[in-house]
Amino acid sequence: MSSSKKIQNKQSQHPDEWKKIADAKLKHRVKLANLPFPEKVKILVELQKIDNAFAKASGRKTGKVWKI
Amino acid sequence: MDETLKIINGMVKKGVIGGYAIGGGMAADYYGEPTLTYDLDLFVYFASDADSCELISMSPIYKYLLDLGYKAEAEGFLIEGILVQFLPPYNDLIREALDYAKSVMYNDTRTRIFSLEYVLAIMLQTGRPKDKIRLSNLHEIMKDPNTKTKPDYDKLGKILTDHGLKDKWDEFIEENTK
Repeated sequence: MSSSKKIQNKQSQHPDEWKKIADAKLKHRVKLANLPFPEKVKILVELQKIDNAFAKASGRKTGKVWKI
Repeated sequence: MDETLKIINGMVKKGVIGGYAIGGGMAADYYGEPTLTYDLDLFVYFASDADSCELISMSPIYKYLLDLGYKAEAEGFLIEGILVQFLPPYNDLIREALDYAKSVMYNDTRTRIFSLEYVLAIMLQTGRPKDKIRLSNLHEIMKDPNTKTKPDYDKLGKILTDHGLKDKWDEFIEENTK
């Protein structure tokens, strides 16, 4: 069975739990979106650092981490 | 980023560029959740702009920034630790977005950024996979009752109609409300 099919099965078996997870995730994303601009830029730099670490490990070329 | 914006504001003051507004991924991040990007896209009025058919010259920007000791890198300039791309408003929608960009503060520094309605319309028009993802993410956030990301739907509707994007928007809404 494909992984997407497995997820669909789980979703249909436990719809309330999946809805709770999806709602919590959206709530968190809205909180992030409501942050002030400079706070978002700080998070962006953290994302760049994470991406750079993965890129380095896999030999992938990536951009430069911002110095703010 | 304060320092980067101060240098760019200095370019406007000294007439190197006619004005600017933040667009691209950073503008989407301003209204939505932070997502990965490595460059700060600035749409600028070039000094020779106006409505002339002249070729756009980047040389005043290059000269000014090189004289200040900043390095040209990739398709942009590394200014105070941030890769900045200077882009011309390449179509009517972008030109309008630049004209009507809003003034915002980044800490103590004033800057200009595309308004939410234009960010949505541009992502819809561009239609690259990453724009579709960003648009869909923003749309989800816009629907939440606790969001601060609320477009002016009348203004958005006018922009979409003026630039022939209304059908595309309706398709997008239909796909994203299933």
